[in-house]
Amino acid sequence: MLHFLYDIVRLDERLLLKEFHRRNVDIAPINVQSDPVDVGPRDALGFVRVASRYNALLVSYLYEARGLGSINSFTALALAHDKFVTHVALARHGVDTPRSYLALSERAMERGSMELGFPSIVKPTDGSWGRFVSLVRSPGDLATLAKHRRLTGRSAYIVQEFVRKPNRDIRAIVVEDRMVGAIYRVNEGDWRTNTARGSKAVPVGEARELEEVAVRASRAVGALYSGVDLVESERGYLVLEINGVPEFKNVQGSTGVNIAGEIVEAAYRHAKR
Amino acid sequence: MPSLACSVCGADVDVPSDVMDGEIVSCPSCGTKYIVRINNGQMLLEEFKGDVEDYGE
Repeated sequence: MLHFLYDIVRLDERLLLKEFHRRNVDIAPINVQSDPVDVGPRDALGFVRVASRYNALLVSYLYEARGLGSINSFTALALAHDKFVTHVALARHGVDTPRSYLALSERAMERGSMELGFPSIVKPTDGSWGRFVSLVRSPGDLATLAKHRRLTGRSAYIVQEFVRKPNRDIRAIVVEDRMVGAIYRVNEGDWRTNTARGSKAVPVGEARELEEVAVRASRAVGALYSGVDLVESERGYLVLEINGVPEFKNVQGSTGVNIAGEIVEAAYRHAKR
Repeated sequence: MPSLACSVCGADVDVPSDVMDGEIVSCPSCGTKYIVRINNGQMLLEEFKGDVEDYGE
């Protein structure tokens, strides 16, 4: 039995459910947002599609500790959960990343930016879709950001070098040891290139070097499948972050690859082990 | 296909017949996003603010 754990249903979840049903997998969708979650034992593998990162960790651990396991694993989700932790895991496994500092205070934020030089990027260690990610061009920008930081109550930030890149970045979907699809996210008007910010998705063709980096990044967090965000730089591909519960609909839509099918096949193989 | 009224512009928001609790739907007129909540067979639209932590593209 497989428990499909979710809190919201996007096209991504619909595509996955369709593939599970097509293979006649014994599956029970569970909305962890609506229903109380019992901590008792369960004779099921948890397939975690919970969008809230913290809640995803909670249910993942439950299925690992009291069930038949979790996809992705608790460890993979925990390493991908926080951008700084991901950064450290990537560095530990020799995957290239932008130069970064962890900043836990305004003073640390300022000193980190001075060290990297302007412009630099300041972003909270959690969150995505490019929200709260700031391009800091001067000490004045930092002062404004520090004020915002006090208002939002967020405390942990990454101060990161601004990578001179084309007007695009890359979202690669890795399943087991293969990059099954990747897109360029092209944005002419915003330096943030998330498709949620209106970037255009353009399929990436054959790219062996990119695949090698993306697969190593996914392995660094131990994910069965993941979304790896990268940028092209003068130093080669740099990995920005890894998503343990990735959206993939734009990759599937623009490459024509059945990404959901690839993920479900991998989950099926994993469950049989 | 059932539909519910958009609380922003009043247009009909179509909901798939096999809709799941927690499914995201959009108003075709004003674009407001909703989460469908199903409670005791009753369907409601709750505005989706997009403020859950997420793994967005």
